[in-house]
Amino acid sequence: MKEHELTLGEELRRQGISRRSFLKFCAGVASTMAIPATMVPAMAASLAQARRQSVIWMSYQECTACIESLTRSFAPTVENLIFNFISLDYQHALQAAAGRQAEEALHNAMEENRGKYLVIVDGSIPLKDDGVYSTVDGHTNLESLREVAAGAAAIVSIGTCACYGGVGAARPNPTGAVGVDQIITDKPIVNVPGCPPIPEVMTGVLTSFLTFGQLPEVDHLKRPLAFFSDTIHDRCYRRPFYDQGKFAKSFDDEGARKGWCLYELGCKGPIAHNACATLKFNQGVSWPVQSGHGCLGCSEPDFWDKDSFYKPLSAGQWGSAEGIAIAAAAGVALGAASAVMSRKNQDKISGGK
Amino acid sequence: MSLKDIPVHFDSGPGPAGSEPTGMAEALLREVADHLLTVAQGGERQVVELGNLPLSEGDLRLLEERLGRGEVEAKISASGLTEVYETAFHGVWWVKYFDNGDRPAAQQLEIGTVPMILEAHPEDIQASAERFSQLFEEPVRNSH
Repeated sequence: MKEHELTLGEELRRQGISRRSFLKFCAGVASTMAIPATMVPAMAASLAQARRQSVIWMSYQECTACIESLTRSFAPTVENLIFNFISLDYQHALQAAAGRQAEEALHNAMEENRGKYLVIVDGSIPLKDDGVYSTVDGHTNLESLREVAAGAAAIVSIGTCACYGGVGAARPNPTGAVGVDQIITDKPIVNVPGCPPIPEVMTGVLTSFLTFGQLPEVDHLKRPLAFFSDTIHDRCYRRPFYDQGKFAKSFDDEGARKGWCLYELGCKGPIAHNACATLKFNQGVSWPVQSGHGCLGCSEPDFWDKDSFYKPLSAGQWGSAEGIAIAAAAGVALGAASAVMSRKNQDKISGGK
Repeated sequence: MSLKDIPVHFDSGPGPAGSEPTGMAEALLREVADHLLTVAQGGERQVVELGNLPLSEGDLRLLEERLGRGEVEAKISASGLTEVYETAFHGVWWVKYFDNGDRPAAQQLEIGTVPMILEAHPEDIQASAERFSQLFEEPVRNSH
């Protein structure tokens, strides 16, 4: 029997890997995806019955930070995924093949798994001037995306660029860059935004596709609810200071040193939906707010163009009604008042923009 | 290279993984108490995921202290290490999963007769039953 006709359970048993490994793998995924841990045995059983998933990864106008981030996933590790559960048939940065051989690998994978392969895209796609601004092997990204998407079971857009255009689409958007779902409309698409996304969010979405055979439930921006239903602010460890009206006023004042809330320094936590506050980056080492800098809201569409990173939400263009409502809500009259008062201070930091 | 290799350290600031308990441990203990009652009355195994809760170092330490250590501890080598021990409360198990590089990957409290990672899976038992008969067919072969 050919290797890819075996179930993962059979394939791994041949290598002497027991079901305990499946259980453990699923426990890690359930943990990061907030799937009830009581479902772990069922997940493990279903994963063992699955067959190796063909994955084709297309990189367009991107900076490779998404793949850099992905390779640092720890639960599950990306090597665990690649060696045991998926067949990564095409990925510029990771594959050994280059040039003609790489393109052949792509077309073979598309041929063999038509209708069944999963496409991952990072980077935006330029539309202006027939898309000439980014080409691979003589084909524009637009042609390439349409060709690969046609035979895909589903598409996962990785990173804010592939989801919403990202930095490529920032004003004045010289290449007419857009995200995948503005081009492909007849396939299931999940958006995993972030600049870069959290590695475990990327591997978690892949694993949930493997174990449940379908893409996870998503919000109105097609983001998986498991990771994007809470705001950074909801889960932030500095939240108690916000509720007490204790704010850092500059990056080196006493409040900053005491780890107080960064709202007045421009933190976009209250309107940014992402899981950084619980999953963190680099194997749980840290995340922007823990390092003393406010959230930029990088998982939200057009975050580059929404005013200064250093202006408080109540003073900026970020759906300002929402921002102000949040500031007023938590009974922090004190906080809201000081937010307005420190406006001058913010203007100083952001050069008055 | 790890963080320890960087010759810089914090000398102030509470830090997020701060050492102060936040009250989260107390809340968790109540949840565990509930689960333990469920299981004691014949209910299904319950699992509390610790990984996605905003627990401080202090919370975890407090939780470990309050739960104590019981009679059983075990190490499982399957895709890296997993450590399991029974707390001072029978049926309340602490399960720590590590990845291949021995970095912590997930952490759970499992409430039940035995943690699922310790049980042998029926399919594995079946495979080993088939393999076992080879012991009689080739009695002199070196184990491999």
